[in-house]
Amino acid sequence: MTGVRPVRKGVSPEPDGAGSDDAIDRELIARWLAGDQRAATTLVERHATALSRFAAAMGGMTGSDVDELVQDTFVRAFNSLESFRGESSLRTWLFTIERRLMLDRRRAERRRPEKMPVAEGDAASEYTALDGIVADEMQERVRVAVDQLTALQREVFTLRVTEGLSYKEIADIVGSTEGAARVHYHHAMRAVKEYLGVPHA
Amino acid sequence: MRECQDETVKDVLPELAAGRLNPADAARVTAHVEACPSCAAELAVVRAAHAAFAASTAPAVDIARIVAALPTPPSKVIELAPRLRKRRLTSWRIAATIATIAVSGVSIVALQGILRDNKPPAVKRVVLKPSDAAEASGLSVGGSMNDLSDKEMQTLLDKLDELDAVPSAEPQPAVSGMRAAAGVQ
Repeated sequence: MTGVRPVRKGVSPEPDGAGSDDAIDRELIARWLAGDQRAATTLVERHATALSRFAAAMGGMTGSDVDELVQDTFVRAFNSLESFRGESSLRTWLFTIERRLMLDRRRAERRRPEKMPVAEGDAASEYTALDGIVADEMQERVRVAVDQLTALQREVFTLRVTEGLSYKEIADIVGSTEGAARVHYHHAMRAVKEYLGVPHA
Repeated sequence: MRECQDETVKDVLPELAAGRLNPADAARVTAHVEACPSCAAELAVVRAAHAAFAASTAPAVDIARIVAALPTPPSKVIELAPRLRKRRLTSWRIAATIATIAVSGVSIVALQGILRDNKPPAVKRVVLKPSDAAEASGLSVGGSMNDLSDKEMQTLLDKLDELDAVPSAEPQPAVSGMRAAAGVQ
């Protein structure tokens, strides 16, 4: 086999979570705790897009809903940043907080009957509909396929393919085990492939 | 579709798409994918999903507004620490000054006692201590503290400041002392 291609780098605009990124986050947290307000800006800049992306992928939220959710996630995180032990990466921890807020909101929404659920097969989310983003057909079909997954499968699948998180990290975020996260991912992948008509071997 | 011969490859396709594999693994996985239609199909799905939710399609968030909503860093706690430390040092200085004055007073009383009784009392040891300390610091404290001029008093206080404010009873590094006592290298 000769055709070794270089790895496609920079798929994600911000650096992906290598060990050094964790070190940078820890350094920024230490600086913020010591009173450096600018460190907060850098931390928000580093992680806001990933949090926004994850929230949008979960569907059923407008752009301003996502903006508000991301802000609440950071406010919660910074309020307890002193207690952040660095056992997981900061991004994993932020996803955990964001997910909990999303679940709380979903529960609150369910108690409000006037809000209609997003219809099945609707294009991805209110956000995409509102902003009229026309993506390439395959991507759009993937979005619809992901929308039809169960909530847990959708979370696991999105965190895995969009953020490239490990099963261990995903398990920490969704409060499950590594093995269960793996199974959810495989079921989700099978369902997405079936929807797209890709044979599953 | 032909069965995949290396199931470990599918497991790392998301990492490949996210650029999180080291160059050696990325090359190995890419080589496998090019020869395996099953993995190539899955990688296409992974890449499409990655692109579908990539940054360009994520709602924009207002960084400045988020930062403005954040709590202020708990810097006050950090600022207080050196001040507390300073205050503790100052109190040690005051204690040291009082102790010196007290010992000097005792020495004067003791000297008076010696002069009156003309016999060397046990308090002689007390007399030696402040003078030793004074010599060590380049000071000569004799007689009453009241006899010192303002300048001498200031010098004395300055010298006291220079002395290590930590009492000599401060625990020494226990391990090395114990090792030395036990004759351990």
